[in-house]
Amino acid sequence: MRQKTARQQFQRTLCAWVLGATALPLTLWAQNVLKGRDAMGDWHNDAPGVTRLITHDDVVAPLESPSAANRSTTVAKPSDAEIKTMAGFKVDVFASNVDGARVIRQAPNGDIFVSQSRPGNVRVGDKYQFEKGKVTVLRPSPDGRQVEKMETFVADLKDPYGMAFYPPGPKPQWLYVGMQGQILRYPYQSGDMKSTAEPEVIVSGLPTGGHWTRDIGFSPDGKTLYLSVGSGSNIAIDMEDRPADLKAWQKVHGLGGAWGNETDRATVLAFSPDGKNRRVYATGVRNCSGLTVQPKTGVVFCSTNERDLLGDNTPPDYVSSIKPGHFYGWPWIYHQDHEDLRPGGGPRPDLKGKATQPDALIQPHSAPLGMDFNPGGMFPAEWTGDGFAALHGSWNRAFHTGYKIIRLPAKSNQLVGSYQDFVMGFTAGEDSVWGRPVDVKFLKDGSMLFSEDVNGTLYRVTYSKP
Amino acid sequence: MSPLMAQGQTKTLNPLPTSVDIHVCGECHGENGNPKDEKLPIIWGQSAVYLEKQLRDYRSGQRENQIMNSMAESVPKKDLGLLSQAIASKAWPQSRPQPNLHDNPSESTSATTKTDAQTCLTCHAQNASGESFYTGAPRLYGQNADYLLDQMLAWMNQDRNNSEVMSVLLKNKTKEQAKALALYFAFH
Repeated sequence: MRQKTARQQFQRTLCAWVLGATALPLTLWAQNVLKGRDAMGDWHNDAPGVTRLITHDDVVAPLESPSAANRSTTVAKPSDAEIKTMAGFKVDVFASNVDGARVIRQAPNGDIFVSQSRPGNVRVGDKYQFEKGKVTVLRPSPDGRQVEKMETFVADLKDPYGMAFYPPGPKPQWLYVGMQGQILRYPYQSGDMKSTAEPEVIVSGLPTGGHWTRDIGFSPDGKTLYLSVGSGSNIAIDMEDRPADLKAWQKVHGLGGAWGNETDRATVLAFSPDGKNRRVYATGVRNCSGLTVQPKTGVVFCSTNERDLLGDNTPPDYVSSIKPGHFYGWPWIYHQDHEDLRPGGGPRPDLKGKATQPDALIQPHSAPLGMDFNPGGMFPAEWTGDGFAALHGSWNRAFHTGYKIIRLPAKSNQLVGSYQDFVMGFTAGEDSVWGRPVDVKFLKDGSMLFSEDVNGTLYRVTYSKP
Repeated sequence: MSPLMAQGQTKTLNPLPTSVDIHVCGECHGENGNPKDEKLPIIWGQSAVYLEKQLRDYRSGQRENQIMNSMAESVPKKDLGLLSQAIASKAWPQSRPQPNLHDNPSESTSATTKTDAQTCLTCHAQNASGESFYTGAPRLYGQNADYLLDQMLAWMNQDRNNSEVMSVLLKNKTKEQAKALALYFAFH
C-alpha cells in the first residue's frame, strides 16, 4: 500500500467535505475560488467549475511532504466511467484508435492534423502493436461531429510532436513538424492528406534524450519560427563545471542559460522560417510542452512542467506568456525567488531577483501539456480569449492530480492567474486512469478538440446555452 | 559467478545511506517484487551490475524514461551501487501471473523462436540462483512479457540505445519475432 501521511488524508477529507457541502449552482462557482493550499487538491475533489488560484506567495517549502512515486496505471475505459464537464457543454468522441494522439492542428480547409509521437508505447489491454511516430490527417464530416476520412500524412518518424503550417494564413505551402533532433517541413497544398514529397530539413542537431516534446509555432507575421526544447534532466544534477567566463556564455546562451549537456535546453529558441538565424528567445523554461503563439498579440505562451522530487505541493507548474530575453528559473530558481541547490556546477547567487514570475500557476505535478486560446464563436461569449490547457496528470504526488482540461480566464489578452476545472473524469480509482489529456485545439466553428494518449481518443467539446 | 559472490558478499550488505530508500522502488515495481503494472520490469533479484548501469544511464539521460530519469537523480551518484545491490539482494518473485488470453504461448514455442532465444542466452543465461552468467546482462526468465516486448521494440526503434550489442542484435527483428521472444522468456 502506498503510504499517505495523516496530513494528506486530512487535507483530502477536508477538501472533499468542503466541496460536497457546497453543491452550488455552477454560476455561483465564479465567486467561489479555492485559494493557495486549498486549491491543491487531488482527483477526488475535482469538479466541473471549481476555480483555483495559486500565487507566488503560495509556493510551498520543498519536501514539506515526502516526494512520492505514484505512477498511474493506464486502463481501458471502465464501463461506469463518465466524462464530466460544466452545464451546457457536451463532450463527444470525435475519433478513436488514434494511438498515442498528441498535438492537434487544424489546416485552413478544416482537416485536422494529429501527431502520434509514440503510438506503440501506449498500449492498453490486448493491443500488441508497434509503429514509429507519424502524423495523421482526419477529415471531419460536414456537421463536424465525426471523422469522414483518415489518412497517414507521414509515417516512420522519431517522436514527431509540434506542427505548424507555413506561411500563416489561408494558403499554407508547408507543414513544419518538430521532433527530438530536428524540424522537418513537408510541402503542403490545401486538401493534401498524404505527403507527396521528401521533407526538407529546416533545423538539425537539436539535442536528444531527456524531455522530448519539441513544440513549434510561427509568429502571426510568419517571420519567426519558435521552438521549445525541454531540459535533458529533472534538475541538471550532473551538469559539469560552469564555463570559465559566465558573462560571455550568457551573451550567447541567454540569461541563466545552462551549459554542458544542458546547453540551450529548457529554452524557447527562435529561427527564421528557413531555419537560419538561430537564437535563444527565453531561458529557464524547464519543459515547455505546449508552445502557443497568441493569435491576437503574437505573444509566445508556454505550458510548462516544473521540477520533480520536492514533495507533493511544490513547485507549481505554469502556463505563461514567455517574454523575449527573460529567464524563468530552471534549474537554479523556481517561481522567482525560490533557490534550488541541486543543480551541478554550483549555486548562482548572481541570478537572484532575475527570474521572471510566470502568469498562471497550476497545481504542482499536474503536467500541463498543450494549450490554446478560445477564438469565440461557440463557447460562452465571456470566455472569448481565455486560455485552455490539457493536464496530462501527476506521478510525483501521493494522490493523483491533473488528468483534466482547464480554463485559464484572460483579461485584455493576459491570463488572470486562476484556472477552472473544465473537463475531467479520466481517473478510475486511486491507481488507474483511462485518459491522459495531451492537447487542446479550438476549431474554426468554435468547438474544442482535445486529445488523450492512453486509449488514443480525440474528443470534441461543444456548447449550447442551457 | 557474479562479482557479489566473488567478493564473498553474499546477501549481507552495508546499511544503505538514508538518502536511499528501496521502498520507493517498491511503489511501482511492487513491494513483493511483482510490479503493479506489467509494463514495468521486475527488479527484485535482478543483476546488481545491470541495475547499476541502468540507474547511471537513467541519471545521465542515456536511457530515457521521465520518471526513472528523476528517480535516479534522487540518489547520490556514489550510492547507486549500494542501491543496486540492495535491490538485487531481494528475492525474485516466485508467484508469477499466468499468460493472459491475448498471449498465445504457442507462438513462442516455434523453432525460430527457440533458435533466437539461444542467441539471447549466450549472455542472458542464468544459473540456479537466477544470476546471469554474464552479470552485465539482465535476467530475462520470468520477466514481464509486456516489459520485455516494450524494451525490444524500443531497441528496434532506437528509442533505447544504451547497449550497442542489443542495438545490433535486435536491428533486423520483426515485431512478431520480438513478441514471440518476449512470451518465450516470460513464461518459460
